[in-house]
Amino acid sequence: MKTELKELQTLKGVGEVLSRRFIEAGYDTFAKIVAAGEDELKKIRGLNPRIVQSIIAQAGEMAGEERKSKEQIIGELKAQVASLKCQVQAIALCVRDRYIDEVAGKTGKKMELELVKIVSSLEKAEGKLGNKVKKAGKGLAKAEKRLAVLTGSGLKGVEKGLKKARKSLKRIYV
Amino acid sequence: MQLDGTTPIWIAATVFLNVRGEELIKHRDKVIKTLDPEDIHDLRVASRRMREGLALFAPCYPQESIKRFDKRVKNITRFLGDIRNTDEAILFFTTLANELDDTCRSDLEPFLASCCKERKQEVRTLKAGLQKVAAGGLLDLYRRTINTLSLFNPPDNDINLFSPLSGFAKDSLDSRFCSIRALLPQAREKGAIEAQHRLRIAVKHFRYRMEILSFLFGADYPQLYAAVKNYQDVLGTMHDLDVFSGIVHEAGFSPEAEKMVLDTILAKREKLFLDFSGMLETMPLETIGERVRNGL
Repeated sequence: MKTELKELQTLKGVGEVLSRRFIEAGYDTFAKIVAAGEDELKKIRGLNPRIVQSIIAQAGEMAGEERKSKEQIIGELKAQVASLKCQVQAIALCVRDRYIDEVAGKTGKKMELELVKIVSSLEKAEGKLGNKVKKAGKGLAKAEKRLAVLTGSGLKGVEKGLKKARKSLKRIYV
Repeated sequence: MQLDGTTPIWIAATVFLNVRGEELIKHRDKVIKTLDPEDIHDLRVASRRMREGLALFAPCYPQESIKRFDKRVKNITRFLGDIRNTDEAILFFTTLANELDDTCRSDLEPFLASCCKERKQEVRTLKAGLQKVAAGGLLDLYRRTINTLSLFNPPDNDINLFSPLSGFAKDSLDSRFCSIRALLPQAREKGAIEAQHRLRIAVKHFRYRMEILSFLFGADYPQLYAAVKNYQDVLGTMHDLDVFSGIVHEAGFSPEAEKMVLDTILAKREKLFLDFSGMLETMPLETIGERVRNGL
């Protein structure tokens, strides 16, 4: 509530009292103010009808900025997914080079399966980035943290780490 | 996931199978619900794209695993083929009946009625068959196939699955284009129906491979893709006409009507062959192949 109040007060002509009345009437975002239109806003007590147009125009601009920033965030998250993809490739290369004999048999099969699963999870998570931006950001950061230490780990550690990273990603798309 | 030329082959293979697999399952479920000709066509195309992708990324998986899944997808393609052919025949002969005079129409109309009856029977078979496919665990098999990636012990040791996709893509497009190049001299001859049919299939495979790797191309892609598609369309219609000629031979039309219909089909085919020859002059396939290679 406090955040919304402050946000609405950035509109010229809207103070503490009016912002509360906006929220009470159900207009708690810039987009909702724009959607409400002139006639509906005029019903709000204490709002000068002469400034309604200006408020709608300002809210429209602000809503546009909000949308743009969401797109920017999604762009950043996509870049993060791409960087995670590079991290996974680095881990796979490291495993191949360091454990050339071990990965020839069953252990290798297990590791391959984990690597496929993490790529599939990244793919699924990327498809859901737009839905819950904050959650996605947190999940990706956690996965990144978990993957970052794996190039120096033993085989068991890598397997475990990949599983944990996958769990963090799963929260984004489930 | 955004793929590019630097993406390792094994990651590209996993992403591809994930995306195309979901698509295939989605189309299959839609066809089971609607049985609409367009949906049937989409499922058939999705199955073909999947098969081309399986052929492309085969070096990443054990041969048996890919073969098993490919066989199942091939069954879907074949299964849908009959009904699609009947749909095409109904469309073609309906248009033809309007173009030709009453002599032909009296033969074509009962023939079209029998085609429609046949289609109803095929719909029933298709419905039962698709439900069988749905129950047969296509989804499970596709997931199992993805999970058999052989990263540390690849079946083909000449290909490093950790290397970037760009070089692999170039080679794979080259290998597809080789078949086109080999078939071209023969297909240029008017009566070489078999060679033209085989060229159509080679062009189709090349086009699907271009589609799969489209994200690697530059600004030239839409033009090149359209050129390849034009070839496939012309060669495809030529092949359809050959099939329709065969149908007419067996349909039991009166001799006059049969001759008239066959002459019309032949005239259409000759016109298409002229178009095909013209395309070979204005936008030679060899040039397209070279530009595709350079565009990567």
